[in-house]
Amino acid sequence: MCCGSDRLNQIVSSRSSLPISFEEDNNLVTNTDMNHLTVETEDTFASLLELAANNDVEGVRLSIERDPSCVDEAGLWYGRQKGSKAMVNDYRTPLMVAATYGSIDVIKLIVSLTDADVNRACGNDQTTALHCAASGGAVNAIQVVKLLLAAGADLNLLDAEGQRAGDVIVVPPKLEGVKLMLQELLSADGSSTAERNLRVVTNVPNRSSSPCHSPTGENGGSGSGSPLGSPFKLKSTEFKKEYPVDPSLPDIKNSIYATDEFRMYSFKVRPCSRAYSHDWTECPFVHPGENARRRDPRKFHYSCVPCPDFRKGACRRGDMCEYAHGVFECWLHPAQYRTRLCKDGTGCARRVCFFAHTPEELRPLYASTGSAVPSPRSNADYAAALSLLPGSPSGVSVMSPLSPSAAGNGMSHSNMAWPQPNVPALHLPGSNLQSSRLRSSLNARDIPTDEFNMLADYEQQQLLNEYSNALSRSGRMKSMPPSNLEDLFSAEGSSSPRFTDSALASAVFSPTHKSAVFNQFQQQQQQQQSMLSPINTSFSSPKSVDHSLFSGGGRMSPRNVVEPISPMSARVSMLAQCVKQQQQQQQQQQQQHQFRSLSSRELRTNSSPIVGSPVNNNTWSSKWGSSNGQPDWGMSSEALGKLRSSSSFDGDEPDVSWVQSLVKETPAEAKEKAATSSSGEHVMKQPNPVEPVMDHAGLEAWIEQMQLDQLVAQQN
Amino acid sequence: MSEGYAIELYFDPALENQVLKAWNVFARRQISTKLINTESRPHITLFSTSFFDSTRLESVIKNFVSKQEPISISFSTIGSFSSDNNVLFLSPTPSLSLLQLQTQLCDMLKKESVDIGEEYRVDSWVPFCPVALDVPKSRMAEAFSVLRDLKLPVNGYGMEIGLVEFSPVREVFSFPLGNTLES
Repeated sequence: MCCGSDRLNQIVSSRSSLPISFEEDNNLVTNTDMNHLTVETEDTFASLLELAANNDVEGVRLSIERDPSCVDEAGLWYGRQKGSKAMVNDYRTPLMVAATYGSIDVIKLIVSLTDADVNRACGNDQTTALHCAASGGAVNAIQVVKLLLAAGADLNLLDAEGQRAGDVIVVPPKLEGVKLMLQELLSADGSSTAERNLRVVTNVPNRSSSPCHSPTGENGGSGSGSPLGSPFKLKSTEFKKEYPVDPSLPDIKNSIYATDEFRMYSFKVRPCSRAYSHDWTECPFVHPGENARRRDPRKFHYSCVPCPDFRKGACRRGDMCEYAHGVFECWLHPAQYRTRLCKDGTGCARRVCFFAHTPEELRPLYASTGSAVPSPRSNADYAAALSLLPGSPSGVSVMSPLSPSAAGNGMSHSNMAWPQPNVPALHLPGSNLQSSRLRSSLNARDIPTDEFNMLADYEQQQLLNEYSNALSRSGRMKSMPPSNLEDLFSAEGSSSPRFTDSALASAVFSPTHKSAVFNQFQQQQQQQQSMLSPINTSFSSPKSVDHSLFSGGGRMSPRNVVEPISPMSARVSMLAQCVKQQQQQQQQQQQQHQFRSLSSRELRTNSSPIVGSPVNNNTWSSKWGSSNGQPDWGMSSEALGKLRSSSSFDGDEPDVSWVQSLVKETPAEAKEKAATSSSGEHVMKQPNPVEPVMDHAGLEAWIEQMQLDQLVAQQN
Repeated sequence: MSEGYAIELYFDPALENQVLKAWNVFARRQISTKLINTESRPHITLFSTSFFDSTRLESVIKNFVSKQEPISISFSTIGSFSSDNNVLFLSPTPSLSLLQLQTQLCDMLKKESVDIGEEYRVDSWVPFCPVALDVPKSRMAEAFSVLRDLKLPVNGYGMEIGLVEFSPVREVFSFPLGNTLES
């Protein structure tokens, strides 16, 4: 190529001198020659690379016609190195230069010639025409690439730096669409030419035209807008759903406010601290003027018995009253709350229910009665408690007359009631004795019936004991000493027959049950002592009486007694009948007292459950009988001794109670009476000189003892 | 060693190739080969001076260039200075963006205590793209004919600004206009 250029230079220099010489000789000849020379000069000077760069098809055609081999001659061309900023002077073929400048016509001409090699690579960088087309940056680079590919250009050829045509794509700014098209064309290996053409036709308008871009942008904007909108909606929805629950709102049904402890000691006791209006029935605290208000059972010592004055309209004693004000104080009282089952069971839908819905929720029954029960007789006491439960509200309400005004009336009634039973009592023992003799002589089989009756009386006595205990307990709360003294004596009087029953029961039971019965007897004494311990010294005499009973039993034991015979059994039945008659008299007196004290209609209505208690007694007695089987008729010396001691005491007690009821003595005199009563003989002697009635009673007792002595003498 | 430094504006590939076409034709016809021999790159000279503290001013120029955007350039006329060393050049249309670019560059350099020559000051600067140097007077007409074959005007974009040291031309650094990477 350098030699070629040298020749061109020589030709140029020689021709340039020729025109000058022609001008000097002849103007016309010179002009003609100059025109011809000019044309020739232009054609000769213009190289094939220049023509290719300028897309001069005619020039390229003339050059090829003159020298067909020129189409593949490579010449130096100064340009940028592919993929860098360096400028290099390297060899290029006409096809490469045409591809660089986007000379479509020249490319078509060259590729149509069979001599041209489309995939020829030359120069230090081994660049191909496809590389030049990709990096030329011409406006019509896409068409150039398509022509070259159609002519068989291989897009996978690598240059000296290992780059394919697709790796050196360079386009002017703002022609990104062209770049994308070039990338697609030069990287679609598997696609056929036809598919590529179709793709080109489809994609060019979309990517190159600006009107298409703006709608795309708008779509993008709206697309981004809708996601922003929907999260907002979701967020607002979540905010509504997650509305925070006010923890300061107490819920009655929550575990904290549904516990027994809270219900009994805090429910509707503490004032509510909320300043805004709310449903009082949903709030466990009390509000001004609320009917459900309760007093704290630990601060105000009131019972679960409803107060009649409060029920009528107003109670003068207010919070200091010892009875329940309102339904909530009554049924939420620790002595009442959940001591029985709810009739609706687990289906109960009440906000605050006073009853238990499952057996586990039931609270111990002894808590409701307020008395500790000995464990050996838990079954019997449980049955007794059950009989008390249906009537416990009415039974407890019987004590409401003991309020100051009612108490006065009750006491006056009791004073009047005491003398009346005395007259029938004087006659009953004699007639009973006669009838008992006839029974013993006529039919010996009646003895079991008497035994069962005695057991029934025993249970009934126990029930009365429960009432008397409650009475004495409430009595202690009073500020009037005389009332307390009378109540205490009446309680003592009612409890004494119980001890007698215990002694008799021991006589009836077999030797295996004696220890159990004796333990129960001792427990009762301990219970009495615990009850009396808080009392001041003026009440210590009843305690000594109990002690004398116990010591009396001890002294009887050393006596010697022969083996029992059939006449002994007859004697036992006679003694039992005497005790039974005495008990009946006492029961009649107490019942009369209760009936007269019931002044209001409600109390009379409530008394009906008491009438039903005998039925429970029968149930209890049958249960007692079945558990023990038939009584053992064997007698021992100890049992006989107890019978004698108990018989003597039975004779003395009515005398003591009569004396107390007839003569109203001061506590000092009562104490002296109690001291003297410790000795049976003294009691027997004193009544005789005092009054004729007492003489009659003493005479009867003496007659009984004489009869017993005669029987013993006969046996001896 | 160094004849001087110049801050030059470079073109996009298409426009660059058009200028290179002229360079190559002049070289093949032996009209002028100086630009190719000095391994120059088609450009418009924005500023030139005999001494330049390239180390200190590189970051300054980089920051300046990053705030600029590619500018449109259109070579529409052929020219030559009568008082110079027979230079033939393509003259771009003096668009406002091109003039502002050169003005802002000189103001920034002035703040950096760089002495601005008379020919590069405001209202004195003549933008041109050299295509032939040291053209023999006897062949000036032929050179003009070659440029006319370029079918002016040719359009493109100014894409980069770089600092070169001559002669021969060696690039010290160059940065693309705007933050977009050169594609």
